[in-house]
Amino acid sequence: MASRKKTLLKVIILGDSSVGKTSLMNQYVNRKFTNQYKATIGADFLTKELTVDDRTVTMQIWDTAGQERFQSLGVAFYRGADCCVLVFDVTAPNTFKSLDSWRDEFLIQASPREPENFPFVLLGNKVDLEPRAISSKRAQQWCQSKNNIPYFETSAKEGLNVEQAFMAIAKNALAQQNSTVDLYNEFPDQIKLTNTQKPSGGSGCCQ
Amino acid sequence: MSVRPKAWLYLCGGRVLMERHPHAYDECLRCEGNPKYIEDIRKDIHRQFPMHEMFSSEDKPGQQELYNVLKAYTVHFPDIGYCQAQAPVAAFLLMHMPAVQAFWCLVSISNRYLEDYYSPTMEVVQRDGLILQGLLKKVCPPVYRHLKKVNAEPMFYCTEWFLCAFTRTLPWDTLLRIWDIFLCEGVKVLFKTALVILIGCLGTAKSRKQCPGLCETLDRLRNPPEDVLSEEHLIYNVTRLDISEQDFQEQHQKQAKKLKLNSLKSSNGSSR
Repeated sequence: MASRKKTLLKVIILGDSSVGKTSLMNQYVNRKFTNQYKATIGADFLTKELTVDDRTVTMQIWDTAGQERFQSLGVAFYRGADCCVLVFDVTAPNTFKSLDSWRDEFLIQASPREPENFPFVLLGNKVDLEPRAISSKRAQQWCQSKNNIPYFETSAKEGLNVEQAFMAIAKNALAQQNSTVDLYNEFPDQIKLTNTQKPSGGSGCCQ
Repeated sequence: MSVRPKAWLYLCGGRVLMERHPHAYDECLRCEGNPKYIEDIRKDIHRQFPMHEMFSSEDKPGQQELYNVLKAYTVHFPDIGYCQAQAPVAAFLLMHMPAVQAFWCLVSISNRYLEDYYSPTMEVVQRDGLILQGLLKKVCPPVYRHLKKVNAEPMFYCTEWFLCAFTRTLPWDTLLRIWDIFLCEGVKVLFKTALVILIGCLGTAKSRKQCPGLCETLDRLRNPPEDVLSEEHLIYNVTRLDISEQDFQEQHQKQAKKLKLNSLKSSNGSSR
């Protein structure tokens, strides 16, 4: 039985370098876009409170480095995620081709209990740019082949579809959290059930 | 002109490398390079210090020089190639010296000071995160316990610090001083700097109370109070931090062993 003070949804954004992960997160949380982002090293996160079906939830969005070699640092960041957002650039075919490996790598490293039911959402970003390399149809076909992943076409620059996409992300994450209590084989905050107030003068109780 | 760039070039051994291989940089530039690395570099050259005069637009010389230095490195060391964290380091060097010198400093920093940080597996950064945690436990147990309590793993806060050698973290004056010491004494200075920042951010009971959860804690570490990063505070505390050579060695051995065990365990786990 999981009793939580407030619902926290952990969302992780993955995808190749320069597809717009940081921009999407910033557009959604701060409604801002700039051309002057710095490449993300390691990971960064922002939180946003929102209402989903009359419930207030806090979404903790983790933005990660896109370069392949940073995947080896992934396990710490992926653990405990409720939803994984995959992003590609609709004008850059290679970023679409990498989606399979991002998805697989996430499932291996995060090891959710039911990998086939774990919620992913796919975002095709930079639809404001020409020329287009990956059609909607092609992206949708990929989504269908992966157990019907929801797909959104976004422009972080123009704020197009970003709000809608993250609402769907939140709903999927929440549904997932409700349907399975033990989402992960390893559940690090189990400890909290017995973690009562620290006795005064006590030591070594925080391990 | 400041003597600092000259001193850095001598200190890190860049000068010796440059004299030993006088034509290597130009030769590297003439090579085509691995297209995968070239693509990665191209995506990053406009994303380094975007507010800095040198790198603010494509027309400025900074972006082209940065491309050249990073590309030359991948040609010279194809097994390491390009790691995204090298770009801010190279850009920072280019703010001080001509491209060929920046290249040899980058070589020395990547291959000696931060050996294996940028390699494709990036294992050493994870080990160093654990070493930092171990040292923190010894130097300031309350901060160590707080980070454990909120589940703040070292990789959450020290990845950028270590990989970019604080070039993206510290204000200019402090950064120059830390780099002076870093190039003199080596990677241990990065650990000490990290410890002083951690203690500066979370060293008091009051500050820990203000950061009851993971989010607040990481937020504070990402945006430390100004005085914590000031030259006077940071340099003073880095030099007087009480950690011996032996402490470093002990932690190093302990964490290297632990990491090996963990990776064995996890590889068994995932094959289940």
